[in-house]
Amino acid sequence: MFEIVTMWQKKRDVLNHDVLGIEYLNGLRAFIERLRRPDPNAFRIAEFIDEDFPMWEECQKEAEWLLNNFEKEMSPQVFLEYQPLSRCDDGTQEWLGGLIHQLWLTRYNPDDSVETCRKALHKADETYREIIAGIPESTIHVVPSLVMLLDLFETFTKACANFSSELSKLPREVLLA
Amino acid sequence: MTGFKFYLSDEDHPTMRDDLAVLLRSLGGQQEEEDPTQAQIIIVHGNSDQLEETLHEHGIYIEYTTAEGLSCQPNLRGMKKSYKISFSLLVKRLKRLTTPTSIHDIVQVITKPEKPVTYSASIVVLCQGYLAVHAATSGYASIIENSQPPDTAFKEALKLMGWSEKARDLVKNVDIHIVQDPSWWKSVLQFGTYNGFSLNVLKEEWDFMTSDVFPDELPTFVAALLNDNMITDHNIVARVYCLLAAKLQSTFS
Repeated sequence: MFEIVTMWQKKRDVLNHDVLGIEYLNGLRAFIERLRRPDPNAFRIAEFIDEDFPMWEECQKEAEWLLNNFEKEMSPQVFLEYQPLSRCDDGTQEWLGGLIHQLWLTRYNPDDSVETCRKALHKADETYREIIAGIPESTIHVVPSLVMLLDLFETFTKACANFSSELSKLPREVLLA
Repeated sequence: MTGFKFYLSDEDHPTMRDDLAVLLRSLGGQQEEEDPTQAQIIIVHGNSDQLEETLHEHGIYIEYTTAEGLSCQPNLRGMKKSYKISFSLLVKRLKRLTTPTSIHDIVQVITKPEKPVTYSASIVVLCQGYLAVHAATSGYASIIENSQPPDTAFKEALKLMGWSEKARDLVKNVDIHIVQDPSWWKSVLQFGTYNGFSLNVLKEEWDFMTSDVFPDELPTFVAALLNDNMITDHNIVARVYCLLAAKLQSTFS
């Protein structure tokens, strides 16, 4: 019905679908599979830990941005920036914008869904930090230490998937009614 | 002149390319598989080899991207009759065409600026404004603390839109006459202008949202605006709001 696609929607699609969904989680699952093998490829394991695993830091920052900006970017108040509602005079823009934002807050209470996402993100990030603390500084002969962390890697994978699922539950559209 | 030859290139997304080919053929296009110089329309994905050099003198060049929401950008790389647009929007726009189609029709439909917010949605926003100002003026702090108002439609509308004391505080100083004045509504809706509002436009939007019969309240309300009547009956506005809001809700659910 609307052709508005906000920056928030675009960023959420990129993070949830492209980065977390396709790249990161698949990479993580493949890494765990590899680590479970009796004679894992140490080079591939070290490469993942050095290059791919830390990508979480970027995902985490982007996720924080999404959660911090959800209310501002996905409020129907944005409709006033587009025609035909942008034709409202300045006085109307001011009170009507505030009003439809407040009504939306009352109807949807987005804080609850954002808080659920935030908890899921926190859980994933906490596990990530725990893993980082357990990885030896040098990744040479690192495999045995990483095998010890297998359970944590699995917990982290589940936590990332859970965060991704919670993020996808936030509305896909700017909801007006 | 209708009928055209088109050439498509997208190695990365064969499904998208094939869907587009089916759509263009359904519009009377003939696909040129081998030689882009023989086509009047060249459509390529942004990552494909650029083929603008091969463009026919009277042809058009369309480059699409998989990114969402890119409206049509003309003069791609400074070339006339070239356009960049998101794939989803390109398909959406082409689907509006009927056979037989000309190149001119295609250019028109992809370049036409879209009204991003429908009139139905705009009326819903204006109704929220009107009903809130009316409620604040009438002293309805919240529908919970007060069993008033007795008017069912008004009460239902306030509940549906999320009326609260906080909302009241935001509009308590707005003069009710502003929102009762038909010019407040008409400055947004712009009856009779190109791409402006009319009852037919509203009916088209309604039919897009639902197969329900177009309700009588909507023509009554539009007629009141057209006749420059002061909008003093808050129950009419409430009914218009409830009808449109319910349909917008179900469109998204």
